[in-house]
Amino acid sequence: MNGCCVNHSDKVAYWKKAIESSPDELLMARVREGDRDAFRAIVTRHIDRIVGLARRVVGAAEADEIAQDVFLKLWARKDQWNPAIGSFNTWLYRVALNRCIDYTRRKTAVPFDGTHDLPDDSKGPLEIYEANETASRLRKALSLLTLRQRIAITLYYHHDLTAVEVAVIMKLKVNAVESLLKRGRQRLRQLIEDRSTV
Amino acid sequence: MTLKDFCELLDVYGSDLRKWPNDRRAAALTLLERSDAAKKAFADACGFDAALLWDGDELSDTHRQSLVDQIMHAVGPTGDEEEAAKARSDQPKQGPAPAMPSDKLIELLAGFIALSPEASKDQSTQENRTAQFFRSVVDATLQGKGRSDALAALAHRQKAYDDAFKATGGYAGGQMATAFVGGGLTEDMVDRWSATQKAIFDAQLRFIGGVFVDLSGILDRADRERLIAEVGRILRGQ
Repeated sequence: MNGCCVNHSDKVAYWKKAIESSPDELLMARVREGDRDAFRAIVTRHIDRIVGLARRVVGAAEADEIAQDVFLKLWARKDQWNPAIGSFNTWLYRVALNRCIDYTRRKTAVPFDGTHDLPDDSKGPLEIYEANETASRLRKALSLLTLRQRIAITLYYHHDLTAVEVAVIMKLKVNAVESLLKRGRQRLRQLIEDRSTV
Repeated sequence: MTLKDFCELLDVYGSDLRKWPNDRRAAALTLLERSDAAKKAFADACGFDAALLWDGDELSDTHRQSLVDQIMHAVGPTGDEEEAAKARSDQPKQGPAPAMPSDKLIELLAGFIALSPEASKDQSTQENRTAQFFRSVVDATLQGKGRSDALAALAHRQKAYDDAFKATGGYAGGQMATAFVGGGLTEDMVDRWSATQKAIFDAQLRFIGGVFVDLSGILDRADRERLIAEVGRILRGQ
């Protein structure tokens, strides 16, 4: 872009787009220097996933608050970010999971209020109802798993990570994660089949 | 790979074969080609995964924007503001620092119960004092056309402020104190008084900001530097 031939708003738009399309690691390098625009781009890019993670691990009612805490912690600890140690995603998930675990330990019961996103409207009303019904029961069933099973299932299925990636985030061996996935999935199936439970 | 092995692996890795270990994926695909029971188990697993993934993570645009704004607000001031705050804290202290929040609170309280002579007469007095201040600075620093243009701009802004003030039509401090003493003060009165104060404060800010905008278009750089130095000198009490 030739700086002599563009006006100020074009330059702002250009840099805004450049920030938004930068890889996480580059943005974090700027966040470490206190760049709020870069931090805003990071938050905007990942907030959906972190709210979704918190919604499943802790519950919908607390998900927003937890997601905010996660990003505030990320900002407060920006100096600790070191790309040589691991990917940004791993670091973010660890911060998020630690926050979820802290929260869960302080609570004996995890409420699920049934709040969820609007369904895909390409399906018919009956299909949408049935899918909603099953999803609602699955959410309840998910809340009945152990915390570690719930985390493993959420990361693996909803965040499309591999068992190896989940193991890195949870700081477990791969076979331990595989065991959590297997038992968690089997338990979910049992709970769904037993209609009296969920 | 046996059907039992296949079903166990479905429980571990789900129906997305891309996420299976490479060696097991190849064996699973072979089994799927020749076993109807494996196909049935795989179809069941696909259905279960679809139900599990029915809930998307995507937030509405409004929800996302609201969360991002709250986080950015909580993060605190911009880098520039942080630098300014640091610079302020690094400066040597010259006597007791002015207690701005307390002063502001006292000013509001005085306005509420109409203690100060200014509040008891006309709330636009605060602005008048600001206009007088600006005029004294212009008198002290500018000459010729710059001075006359600056005074004309001040008068123009004064008119805009007066109009904004008249449009508030709310409660003055004296009325609040009278209602309080008479035992008739209500939340509704407080709301109207508060709205009036906010409108006046907003008009004051726009007056001050507007004056600087006007002056930046009227004065050259040397005059602007002289003016801002004079403002700083007076505010520091030098």
